[in-house]
Amino acid sequence: MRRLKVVDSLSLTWLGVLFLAAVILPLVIAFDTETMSSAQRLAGPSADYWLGGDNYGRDLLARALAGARVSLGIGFGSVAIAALIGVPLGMLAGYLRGAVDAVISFVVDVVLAFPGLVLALALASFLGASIQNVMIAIIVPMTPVFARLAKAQTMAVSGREYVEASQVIGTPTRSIVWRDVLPNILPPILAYAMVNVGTAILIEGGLSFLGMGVPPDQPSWGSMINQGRVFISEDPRLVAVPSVFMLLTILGLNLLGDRFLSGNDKAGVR
Amino acid sequence: MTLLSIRDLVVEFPTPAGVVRAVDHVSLELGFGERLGVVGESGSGKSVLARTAMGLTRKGPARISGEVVIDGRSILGLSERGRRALWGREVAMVFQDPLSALHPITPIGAQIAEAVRRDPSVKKEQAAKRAVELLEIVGIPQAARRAKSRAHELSGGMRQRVAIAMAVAGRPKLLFADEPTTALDVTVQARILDLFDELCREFGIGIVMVSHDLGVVGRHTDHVAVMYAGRIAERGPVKAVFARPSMRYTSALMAAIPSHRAERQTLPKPIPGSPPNLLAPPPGCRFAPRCAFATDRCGTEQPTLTELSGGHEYACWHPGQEAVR
Amino acid sequence: MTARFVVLRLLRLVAVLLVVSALCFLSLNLLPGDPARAILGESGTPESVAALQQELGLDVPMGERYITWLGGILQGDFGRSYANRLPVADIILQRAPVTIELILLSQLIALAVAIPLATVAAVKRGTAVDRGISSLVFLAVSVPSFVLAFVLIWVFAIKLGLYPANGFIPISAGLGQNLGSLLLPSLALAAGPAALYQRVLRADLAETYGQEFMNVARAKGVSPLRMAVRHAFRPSLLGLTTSLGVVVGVLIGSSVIIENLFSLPGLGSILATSVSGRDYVVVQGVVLVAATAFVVINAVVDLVYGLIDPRLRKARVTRRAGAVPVA
Repeated sequence: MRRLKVVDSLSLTWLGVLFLAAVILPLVIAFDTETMSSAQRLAGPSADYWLGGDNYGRDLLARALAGARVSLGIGFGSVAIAALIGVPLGMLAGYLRGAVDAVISFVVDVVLAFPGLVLALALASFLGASIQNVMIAIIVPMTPVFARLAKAQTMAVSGREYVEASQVIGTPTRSIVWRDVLPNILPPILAYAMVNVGTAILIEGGLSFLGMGVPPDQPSWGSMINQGRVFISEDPRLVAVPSVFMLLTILGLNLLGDRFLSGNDKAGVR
Repeated sequence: MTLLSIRDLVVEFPTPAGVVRAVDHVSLELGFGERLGVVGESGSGKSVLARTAMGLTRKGPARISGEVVIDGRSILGLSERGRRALWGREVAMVFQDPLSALHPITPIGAQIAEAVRRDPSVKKEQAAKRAVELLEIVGIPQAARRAKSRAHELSGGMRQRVAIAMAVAGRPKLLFADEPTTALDVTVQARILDLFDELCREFGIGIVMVSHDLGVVGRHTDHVAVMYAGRIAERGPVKAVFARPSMRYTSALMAAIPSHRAERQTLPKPIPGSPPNLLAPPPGCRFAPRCAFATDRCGTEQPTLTELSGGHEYACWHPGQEAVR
Repeated sequence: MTARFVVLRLLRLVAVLLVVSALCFLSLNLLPGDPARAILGESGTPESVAALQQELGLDVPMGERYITWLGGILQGDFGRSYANRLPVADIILQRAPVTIELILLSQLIALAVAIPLATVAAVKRGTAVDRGISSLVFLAVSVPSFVLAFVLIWVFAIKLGLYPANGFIPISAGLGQNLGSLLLPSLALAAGPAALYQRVLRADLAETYGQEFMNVARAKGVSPLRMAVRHAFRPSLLGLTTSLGVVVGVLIGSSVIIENLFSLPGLGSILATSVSGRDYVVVQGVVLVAATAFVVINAVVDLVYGLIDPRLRKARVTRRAGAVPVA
């Protein structure tokens, strides 16, 4: 137990520091992600460039932090939107059942018929590369996942005594769903959302890595890895820096999500 | 010759809240082909006693002291591997709930055959044949066809018959049965108990039957040991104990047996109160807080086993047959 | 497994596939502006745009076009690539074996790693061994496949020089060589699924080990190894088989990146190439094939599992819900 707590606080610390450095810090000082300096080209860490320079001599740390802003923004943003669409749909399906459930479940099945990354890639290709389109490409495959989870959770909760009691005394459906169902299904959904932020960051990374994600003028971890791959034998640092940022972030989100889950009812979530 | 000898057995489970002593200085003996009933309420330690006597209780979570000798071999001194050599061949167990005790997917014939094949000289085909024979022995009709069934396709009574067939497949000398009829319908219970009697008679298997039901044990065993809160309250030949229950808990259990005889048209009397918390058991007689005859002495001093007649012993300061004043 | 259950499943499968195909069809037809112009992009001359418009049959109503298109698909006509004018069906047929081999190999590696690790962790549950394995698994589940690919390339190809970093050796050049060229990509793909399998199987195994029939097996004198293999394993496959199908989707997705990274001539790399080259007809064909394969595989896994263990079909429906990783 104690070991887990150490890991939790490490995860929280990393995500907190990343948030401060990537989102708050730029409000105070501007990161210079674009200045190219021949002296810093593939240069190792120094007092000026803490993590050294990239193949154009740009500050690797500044670019990684700018990438963090893109990745975290897209990750949290698209998961929030997917959850806001998917969870109500899932609750409707799980609570009302019948035809509503049949329609929603069929749509869910259809969207989930496409492998997630393939769908994201196809969407990105048809929509064109921009941050907004990357988010759409992530939201579309992720929404039905939330709907499915919310449906399963709602069905589990609906069978419990307090919900049945509310139904018997004639509480309007809207307030049953709002007061009895939602608070009880929220914890596992939040935990799952946390893990899905990691997944969203992964998809964004994959799309950017393939050049179909965030436009090249905005650094993102995926596009940094893509740019660095040519130099992997000369200087693996170009790939390693964004990779480590990405790995630690996803790991931290997974750990926190899992921790959150283990404190809650695991029904329907695995 | 003794088949099973338990001497001064203590089983403790350390928990975050304190140490639970589930079995407290218990000694018992059983001869070859004899039947012993161990009776007690749930939480009296009877199941732990049976599982420990068979060597199943794991050393990790439990602290065990004392001695258990089965047919001359001290089982507690053996490694897991050494015990495994005895399990299924010298000593076997029938569990309480036959549905959860049988494998959900493997056909029952194959489960029995696996037990048969604990004897390495038995070939695969022989084992399958023997499994069908065993199913016939325990009274399952159309055994050859039934052997292919899975546990969930059988009735409760049939399942327990299968579990018994599996337990005796390795021709053990000693069979532990942990509440073997509790999960079954009343109508099926008697037939399963008859089956135990038959196995004991025909194959000379010694049986330790753990039960919460003194009535059941009385009709199907030779000896009985009554357990309360981890200790032996009373033990002896069934006839002697039934004729003269002495420890007041035994008397109370006797009074709680529903009677079908016309001359004893009394209602069964439930025992008031509940068994003690084993984290903090009463210092004297464990039964004192629930006993109608308890005195100050019962509250402070542990009664020791006192012999009444040949092999009939009880642990009580105020022995008697009445359970209520 | 009732016939009714199978028939309902199949009907649903067909319905899903029809809608999936319609979406694939529409994607091309709903491109902003004129599809022919969008496909050809800036490079399209008025003549080529006109030719394409005719090829796509844009003058016919959309419903009719869909029927014609679907009929063509069912006869193996997926249209032609705009990059090289090759039939898309030929491209897919030529490249599919590489992807199938890659995915199969990854699944095998993932299972070969996950099953023993899950078993050891479940047998030693609660101990340092279990916790050690689960930490490792957590790391593996969080590593993007392409990040792991770079680690593998850097260690095995660059530092140790043991291995060519990319390139595919066809099976005709020898099975050993062929498998060798797929080893690093498969490892990179397998890590995430292996971790997922380990977690799911360990949880189910731990549950199984807590059940009475395992105590019974022990009391029968069954050895720990036999207990794990013959008694615990089969009743613990619910989660694993459910994730098997899901993981195929993850592998199809990740193979796009990994094939691109290792220059493997599979469906994934042609998808990536076509996406960046705006070769929409190829994108459409590959996506349709990928989705169909994914759906069919999942349906097969479902049915097969129902056959293996009919007892658990009911439980499965509730437990699988919500358990779908996206990538």
